Amino acid sequence: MLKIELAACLSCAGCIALCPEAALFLTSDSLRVNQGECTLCCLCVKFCPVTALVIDGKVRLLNSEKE
Amino acid sequence: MKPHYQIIIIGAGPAGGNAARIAAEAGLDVLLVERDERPGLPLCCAEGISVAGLGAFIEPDPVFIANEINGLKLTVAGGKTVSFSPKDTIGYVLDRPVFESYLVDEAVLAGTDLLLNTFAKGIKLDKGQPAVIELVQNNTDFTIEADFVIAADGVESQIGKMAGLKTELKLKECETAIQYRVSGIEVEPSVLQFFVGQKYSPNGYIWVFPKSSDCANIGVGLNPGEADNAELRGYLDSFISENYPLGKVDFVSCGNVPKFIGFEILGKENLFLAGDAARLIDSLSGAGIARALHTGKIAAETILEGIEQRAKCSEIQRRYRKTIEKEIGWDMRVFQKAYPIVRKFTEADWNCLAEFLETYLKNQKAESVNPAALIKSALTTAPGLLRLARHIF
Ligand SMILES: Cc1cc2nc3c(=O)[nH]c(=O)nc-3n(C[C@H](O)[C@H](O)[C@H](O)COP(=O)(O)OP(=O)(O)OC[C@H]3O[C@@H](n4cnc5c(N)ncnc54)[C@H](O)[C@@H]3O)c2cc1C
Ligand code: SF4
Ligand code: SF4
Repeated sequence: MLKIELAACLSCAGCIALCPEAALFLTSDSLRVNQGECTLCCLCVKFCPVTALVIDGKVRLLNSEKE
Repeated sequence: MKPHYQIIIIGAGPAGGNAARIAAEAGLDVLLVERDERPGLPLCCAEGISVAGLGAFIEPDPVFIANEINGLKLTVAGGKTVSFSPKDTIGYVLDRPVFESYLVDEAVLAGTDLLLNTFAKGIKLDKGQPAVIELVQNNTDFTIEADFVIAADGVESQIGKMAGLKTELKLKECETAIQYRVSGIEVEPSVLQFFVGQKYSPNGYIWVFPKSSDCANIGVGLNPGEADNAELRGYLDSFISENYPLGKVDFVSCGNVPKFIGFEILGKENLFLAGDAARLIDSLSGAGIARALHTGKIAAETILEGIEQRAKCSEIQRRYRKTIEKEIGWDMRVFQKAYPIVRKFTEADWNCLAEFLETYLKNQKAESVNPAALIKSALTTAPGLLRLARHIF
């Protein structure tokens, strides 16, 4: 699962530009992710200047189990 | 607020604010929609702009100018420093939140309706029909129609994407950037400084843009396609502890500086993209405020002319692209071609460029220096750089 560390996020909207699935959006309150659309491609994670986006440990485990 | 407008502009940054001001001053019926409560916040910008880049679109006013600039300095890691210090003012460091509010106030004074705290979450385009914009304000959804839409929604550019334009950025087409507002330091108040080379950033640069003699925007960018974003902050922290150990960080900001990706995403039907939304930003420097003001103006004026002449949308789209290509196309393409070369510069290449600049800029008047022509000239005539750019220009 993609996790947004809201305390770290500065609402710059930069990650949204990279998401192929349009899964990220910034409302008047905060950055949100539509988990149903997110494919965990990690582009947003590789972009975020303040590393506020992380792939949740559980999913990483699941992925490595799959491999 | 009305159910229908001649133009809806999404995003109250420099592109949207200027477009709204111009369209409303010409007597059009305009709605400006902005997600944030206050235009210009959060700040994602170093706030530098050239005299020409600002003055061509809006009268410089001390209200939104923090500082006047009359010099530039480029320092290469472990090597040369080259300065350009013409006698006249060549640029400004703005107070961007005030600047954006100023633009929006002008637009509202001219008759623009303004919706703050309002998020545009959808757009429906239908040939020959008004566009339908889906908006959300305080958890309430509603729609408004418009004959024309200007998407000035900045780097995220989701309006264009929803309409089917390929505005999505690849990792190699953007720069991840972080900036601190640092106070309690001593800086040359009228000089913009740039630091290049591996030590400062693996493929970008560090900037020091002074707000006054004791405060500056200090930031770093890198291309996340080829370097690790997790290390970004480290570059800035070491630079600051080495050069401004007593500095106090007032606040942190960050952002995405997109690269120009071509003129195919300027619009479709009755939707027009301007500024960062259309990736109209100088790929090398990341300067985008002037391009946003400029293309917001072109969008508003082209639509206005189209309305007066009852031109078809396809014709208005053709004119929009033609004017943009004519006014900024050459410069945008030079920076676009130069970027992948400069991104891979070694320190020796940077020193070579610094030597070239030293000779080139000697006795130059500020107004006669065109940055795109300068970089093209460097890459095609500096002996040490020719090997890199031979096949490009
Ligand atoms: C760290 C950094 C430093 C920079 N430094 C400089 C510099 O020194 N000089 C320079 O010239 N350029 C600089 N730039 C680039 C410059 O900030 C941009 O090019 C410029 O802001 C583009 O203006 P714009 O109007 O196109 O978009 P923006 O200024 O991004 O404005 C877009 C607006 O649209 C709103 N919006 C977005 N989506 C929606 C929606 N769906 N509904 C409603 N509202 C929406 C946003 O809230 C925002 O207010 C820098 C960029 C970064 C990231
Ligand atoms: S890039 Fe990072 S800081 Fe910017 S909006 Fe996305 S998560 Fe937040
Ligand atoms: S991981 Fe990929 S799909 Fe998921 S939000 Fe980030 S960019 Fe979008």
